[in-house]
This record gives sequence, C-alpha cells and structure tokens, in this order.
Amino acid sequence: MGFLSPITALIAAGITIPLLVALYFLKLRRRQMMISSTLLWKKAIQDLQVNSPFQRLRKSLLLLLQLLILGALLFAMARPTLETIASPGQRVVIVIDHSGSMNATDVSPTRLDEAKKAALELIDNLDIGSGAGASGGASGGGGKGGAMVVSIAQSARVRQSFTNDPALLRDAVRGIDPTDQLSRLGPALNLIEPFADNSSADESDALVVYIISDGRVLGGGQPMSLAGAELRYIPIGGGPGGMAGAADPDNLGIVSFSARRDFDKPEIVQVFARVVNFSTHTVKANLTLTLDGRVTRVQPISLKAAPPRTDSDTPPTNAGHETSVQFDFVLPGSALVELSHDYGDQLTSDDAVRLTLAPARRLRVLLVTRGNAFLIKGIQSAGVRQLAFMAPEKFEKQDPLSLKRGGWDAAGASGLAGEGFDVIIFDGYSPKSTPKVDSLYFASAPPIDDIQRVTSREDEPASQRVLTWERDHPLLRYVVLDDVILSEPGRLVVSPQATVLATGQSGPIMAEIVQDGVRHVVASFDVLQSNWPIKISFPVFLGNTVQTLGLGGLADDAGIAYRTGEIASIPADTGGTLTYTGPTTLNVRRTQGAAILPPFTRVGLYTTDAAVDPPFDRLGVNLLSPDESDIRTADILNVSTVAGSTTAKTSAIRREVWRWFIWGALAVMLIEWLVYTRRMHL
Amino acid sequence: MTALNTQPDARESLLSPAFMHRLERLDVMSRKMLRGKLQGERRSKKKGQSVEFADYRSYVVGDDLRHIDWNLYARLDKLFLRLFMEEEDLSVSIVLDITKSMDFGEPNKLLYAKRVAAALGYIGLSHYNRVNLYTFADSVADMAQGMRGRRPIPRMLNFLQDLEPVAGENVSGNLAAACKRLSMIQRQPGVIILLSDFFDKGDVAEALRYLGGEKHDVYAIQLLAPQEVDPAKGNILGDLRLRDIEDGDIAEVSVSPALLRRYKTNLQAYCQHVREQCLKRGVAYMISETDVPFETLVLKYLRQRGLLG
Repeated sequence: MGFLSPITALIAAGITIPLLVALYFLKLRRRQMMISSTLLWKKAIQDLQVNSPFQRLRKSLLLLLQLLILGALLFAMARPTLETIASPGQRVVIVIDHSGSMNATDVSPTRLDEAKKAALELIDNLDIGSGAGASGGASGGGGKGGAMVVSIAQSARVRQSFTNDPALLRDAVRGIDPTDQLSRLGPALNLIEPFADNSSADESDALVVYIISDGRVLGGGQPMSLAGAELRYIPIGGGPGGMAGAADPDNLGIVSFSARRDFDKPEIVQVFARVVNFSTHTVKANLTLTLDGRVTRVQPISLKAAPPRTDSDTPPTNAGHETSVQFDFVLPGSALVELSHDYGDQLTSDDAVRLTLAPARRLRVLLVTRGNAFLIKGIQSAGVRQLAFMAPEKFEKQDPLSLKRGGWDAAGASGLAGEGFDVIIFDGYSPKSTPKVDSLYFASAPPIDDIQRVTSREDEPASQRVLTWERDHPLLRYVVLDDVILSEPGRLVVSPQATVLATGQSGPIMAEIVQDGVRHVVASFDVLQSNWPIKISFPVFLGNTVQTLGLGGLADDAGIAYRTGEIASIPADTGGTLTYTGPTTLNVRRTQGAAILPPFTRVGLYTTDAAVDPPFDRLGVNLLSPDESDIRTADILNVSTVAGSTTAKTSAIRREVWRWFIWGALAVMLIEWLVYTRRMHL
Repeated sequence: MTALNTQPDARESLLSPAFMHRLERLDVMSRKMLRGKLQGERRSKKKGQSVEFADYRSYVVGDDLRHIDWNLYARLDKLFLRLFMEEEDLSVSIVLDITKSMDFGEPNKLLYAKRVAAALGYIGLSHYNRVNLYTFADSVADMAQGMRGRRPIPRMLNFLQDLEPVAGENVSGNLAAACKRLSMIQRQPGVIILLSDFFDKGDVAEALRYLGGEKHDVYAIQLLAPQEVDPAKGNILGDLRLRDIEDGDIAEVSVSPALLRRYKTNLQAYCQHVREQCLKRGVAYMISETDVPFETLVLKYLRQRGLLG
C-alpha cells in the first residue's frame, strides 16, 4: 500500500491527535452538592465498576475508539492506494466483451460479471475531470477527460458516449447483458478510432483503451489496429494468461452441427456434428440425439486434453482435440433435432445444439417456353424431379395463385396432378402479371417497375463478355463466367432495391429483386444467343438457382438452424406481428411476405404460436463457434497501435482506497456512540 | 452548595402540651430486670421494701427481726423471714448523634431526633426514672446526667433545644469512639436509646460491641431522611460532585437509573447490616424515615417495639 499525500496527513495527525487526547483529559464540569454521607455512593460506584466487564479497558475505550476514528480519517486523508489493474487516464474507453465465451463460469459467477466488476472498479478510480462536459464528436475526439463504455460481441455498441459522470458510466456497465454471440474486436476499434487523436504531442492527452475480455476476440478477418491510442488489456477468466485464482478452463463444445437428406431418398436424414475438447484433461461424455424430445441415439465419446496453446496462436485458433460424429435415421417429416452432451463444463451455451428438420420434399419447376432443349437439359441436370412445360399462352390462362398452391389446369401435362410449383422459369417470355412463385427470367423480365430489360442498341458491341459477377452469391457459387460470350445481351435497368449479380459491357445483365416476398432473378440475355449452355457453369448456375429459389435456406441443409448474431428471414404471407418466445422474446412486423428477425443474442429454441409453416415455427439458435467455445483466456492481444505492432498486456497501476477508511471510520463512530450511550445508561 | 439544612428556630418547642399529656400515659419499658440505684416505681430483682410479698426464707442470724413472720413461727415453731419485692428506678440514657450528617434532610434528622429524645426523656422523667442525655460526634460531646422526677423536664428540653450539630471541618462522626466513651461514663445499668443515622465510615459492629451485653437494654433507632432513601427526591440527578457534609469527601457521579438502583440496594444492605449487628449484640433495632410524624413514631412504633408501654 502506498500513499498519495502522506505529508498532509502527517501534519493533520500532528495537530489533531494531541488535541483529541487533550480534549479527552478535560474533565466534565459537575454540579456540586452536599450530601449526608458519600459512604453509599462510593460503594455504588465501586459496585458498578466491579460488575462491568473490562472496566479497566472501558476507562480508555472511548479514547481508543476516538483515536481509531481519527486514525482512519487521517489514513483516508493520506489517500492510500493499492496496486490494481486500473488507473486514472485523461480520456478512457472501456471496452467490455460480452460474447458467448464471457458466460464461462471459471470465475464466479461468470466472466462477464467479473468484467463488469473490473470495469466498475476502473470507473471508481477514473480521474475524470469535473465540469468538462461530455463530448463525443467523431471528428475531434472530445474534450478533456471523460470516459466511454463500449460493449463488443457480434457488433460493437456504444453504451455510453464520453461523459464525466461516473454514475452514467456505471449504469452503462451494469446494463450490459450477456449474449451468446461471437466476439469481434475489429468493429469496436473502428468505432473508437475517430476519438484517438494521434496528432497531439502531449502523451497525457492520449486515449486510453481498456479492453476487458477473455481475449477470444476476432478482428473480423482484418488485422486489428488502433492508431493514436494506448491499449490496456485486462484479461478475465482462467487459463495461461488469465486471472490468478481462476479455475482451469474446462469446456467440451459442439462446434458444428448440420443435417442433410439423402439425394435419392429424402426421408433418410444424416446429422453431422463436431465436438471439441478445450479442457486441460481428457474428457469422457455421452452425446444424446433427440427428435422432438425423444432420445434417439446415445453415443459415448472420449476426447484427449487440448494441447497447450502458444502465443503464436493469436488470433485464436482451434487447438482442442476434436471428434466428428454422424447419426443416420429415417424421418420424412419435420422434427426438432437436438444434440447435447452430459459433461458438466464451464460453458453451457455450446453443450447443446438444435435444428428444425424440414419435411422431405421434391422440387417442382415450371418452364414457360416455346422450346429450349438446352434449358430443359440443364434444369433436369440440376436434380429437379418434376419439371412441367407450358407455352406462354397457356401460362397466361392459369390463375397465378393456383400455380403456387396447386389446382392449375394440368391437362396435357404428363405425370403432374396440378400441384403447386416451387420455381417458374421464363424463357424469352415476360409474363403479364407478376408470378406468386420465385422465378427465373431469361431474355425477359417481370412486370415490375424496379427492374426492366432493355435490348441492346446498335452502337453496342454485338458480342459481349461478362465483366464482373458476384462470386459469393449463392446463385453464382462455383459459377465461372469468364469464357461466356453473349450475343446482344441487352441490359437491365434496376432500382437500388435490386441486387446486381452480373454486369456486362453495357451494364447489369443479371439481377435479383424481391417483391412481396417473391424472389425474381432476371437475366437480360437469351441463353440460346450465347455459348453458355455448352459451358459447365450453365448447369451449375441452374442448379444453384433452382435449389436456392425452391428451397431457400434449405438448399444446402435439410434443417433450419441459426447461429447467434444471424438475422433470420421468416416467410410469412399475412401481415401483423410475429412473436417468437425462447431465451428472449422477439417481436417483428411481417412486411412484404417476410418477417426479418433481429440478430439472435442467446442460444436456444425459439417457438411461435403464429401460423408459420414448418420448419420456421421452431427456430434453433446455436453458438457453433470454436473460437467462443475455446474459453482459455488469451494472455496477449495483438493490436497494432501507433508505431508497429505492440502487445497490450495487463498493466498494474494504483487504485485509491480512501473510501474504505471513511467507511471504517463511520463504523467505529457508530460503535463509539453505542459505547457512550451504554455508559450513560449504566 | 446545596444542603438540606432546614433546622427550625432553636427555640421552637420540641413538644406540644397536648402531646406531653398523651406521653404521660406511657412509660419506658425494659426487656431486662435492671438494677436501679434509688427506690422507684419499677420492680427490681432485689427483695426489698415494697408491699408486694415475694417469698419466704429461713432466718439466719443477723436478719432483721422485723421481717420474721411470727404467725408462721407460732404454727411451725420455726423462724421464717417474709421477703417483699423491691421497686427501683430505671436509668434511661438517650444518646443523640449530632454529627453534621444528622443536620440533613427535609424534615431535618437532628430536629426529628431531638423531638424523639424529648418525648422519651419526658416519659422517663414523668415516671421517676433517672434520665441521662448524651450527645456525640467523634466522641461523647455533651451530656445531662442524673435527671429524675418532673422538675428537670425544662432543663432537659432546654438541653435538647440548645443542641447544634458539631461544627468544624475535621470533626466527623466516630460511633465506635463515642460508644466506648459512653460505656465508661454510663456504668449504671439501664435502657440506652441510640438515635443516629448510623452513617459512620467506621465499623458499626465495633461500636455496638461496647453497648451490648447484659448490663444495658439498648435500643438503636436509625433515622433516615427521605432524600437519603430516594435520592431523586433530593434532586440528585445528572453529573454531580457530591461532597460529604461531615468530612468533605468527594464522590463524582453521573447519576443514572442503574446507579440509583445500585445506591438503593446498597442502602438496604447497609441497613440490614446494622440490623444484623444489633441483633447479634442483643440491641433492639428499628428504622424510621423522618417524614413519618414523630408522634406516630413515639405513640405507635416505639410501643409496638416494646420500648414504651
């Protein structure tokens, strides 16, 4: 323990202690009275003194207590300090990690609570100037002093902008709720960077950023850097770089989970999972698979201890010992599939995962064409089991809703009984009314204002190549268009609501737009006026498109499941409010045939009572992140600051503890009062 | 300085004529057959000159022939002497404590004691007893001895009225010394009535040792002021510096209910101690507060205790 102003306290002690002792020896002024004899009075006083325990002590007890009070006040005046992980700073940003790994219980009660406690201690010791108002402009970095609170998980959020009011800062810290999301530090650094004034020569004016985290953070794929700020990392939790006294990390996490239906026999379901041991010892556990709550399979697993992680592992990588498991079963309908393990570890959010299995279904595609063998072959190669053809004239006679829900005129269509279609493909024919089914258009466009097809002008090159395309878009995944030559492809005029998928020499040639919950993918060119049908990318594109449009999120997976931080789009025909209850309650309004749920914060099962088609009536939300499941606290954070990369480590600084002595003095004062009162009532 | 000294005018009459008239019906009683000095109205253990027959005894040479029962000699032919009861006077010694501690309280203890002494003296003199008055502080201070018959009644009253508490800073009560001195002065057996508050810092037992025994029939009357029994009545409250009226001893007290309780307990214990010591020495003990009318004390309580009859 040290003192910030011992001289002041010593001077005060030199004055007050002798004064107190002198005051104590001043006698009480008593009224004099004559009595017949002091015989009985003296005896009474003696009796009382004899009958009171610790009488000898009692004589000086009050003085002792008063000296204690004075001593405590003098100690407080000397401003005692303890070395701790907090310090005063000119401008301070407190970044608190509230991601999934911060829910680990290796420190009691959780890491997040410990982080909030550390943040509150930090705020208690902030030397933020009074009077300087809050300022939070992105341009200047604010005025002198003040602190800001930022929470990080999937995204960064400013809980409290720069302020000099500790109460606001404390409220902001206390208001941080736990989440099961990933932890991404990059957005937080981007948020803080404008406040870092690296032009100032005064070091004391530098921005001090405290990152209170377990170090399981991601930079969002980018190297983390923050120029002009001083970073201090306060590690929370156990592990090699963790807090003293914290338990060793012990976690068995399910980091991957998916289900697929057999291509030929969709009723056969395969469930895959990956389980990783992040503990420092061998773990044995049982994996339990349940279908709608019924235990279907139990599989014992044994995983060796995770190898020790080294400093070179940052940013964190999966270093645990892992195993993959697969479960096969027959289930044609929808079901909630849940996989859990029975190992009691320190992080519960990755102990169970769940997904909602969609019913087995076959895609039904309607091709509106006057005849296009390439297209037919391409669609058939995409795995479509039911393909119907229809001439444009016949198509126009159909009721648009019957094409979706069934009941259309199936006369002349072999093997079809009028069921609804999942996808309609228009080949060179623009329908007069907008279809109610997801559609693909070649050399045509739906009758909506947001997207229009324009034919090639004469001054444009007759043969064009595709200049750019969205390689990451689900429709164009694995599609290479470098060698595709298009003859008079035309172009698309699209509104900002549309997504341009491919661009030719004259402008957009492929775009996607969603209207009233129906997706329309429009290509301005005619496939027969190109060499695309003979390229391998053509059937790949058709396969992607039919699967994506027809199955939506089920194109790759047989079940619906989300990760924390993801946004779910729920197809909904009617309007009104849609409510999902689960670990949290989600209320959203249904607009344009879909309800967009906010990013999930907690893992678990969300259900709704509203009329929503399976599998969207039950949404499984999982952590599924090896980074968050690895709860070993990182001992360093690599974040580049002003010059090159520096390592932010724990910095021990002094914390003032004068308040303790003030409270102590008050407590002793209370005792002194009690003693005095008791003495007066003897 | 506050002292409860409310002694009235010294000339104030100690006994009213009506009360004196009522006193004449009473006499001082003794629990013992004590030897008197002169012939009086009280039966003695001795055989003597009264008209009341007591016994016969055989004649021995030298006996007064006038006491021979000649009728009996005629019948039995033997000489017998007729014996008669002797009647003697009784020595009544009234001992007053005149230390400063007695000059305290409302009503004043000394005045009260004087009145009681006057009443007892009056009774004694009315019945031809020999009345002695003694006062003491650190020793026997003054005395009026050998009063007998009704004639010395004014002298007795004057003696009592002229009594003042012993002055002087260094004069404090010493009951033991006084009793020792008294035992040497008062050799004649008789009734001794001790009127005191017994607030003596010496040993009460030692004092009573000089008066106890077969020789005297001792009555100890402890007089306490109401302010001594309940200090709250004397406004003894708060932080006080209590000064002993006799020896100037100081006791600094912060009066609290607990302290008052303890004081009362001690007072009771002290009175009990005095009582036990009295009983041990064959001394009749009684206690009275000065707010009890002294007429009630004399006419009722002293009769109940057998001192008067």
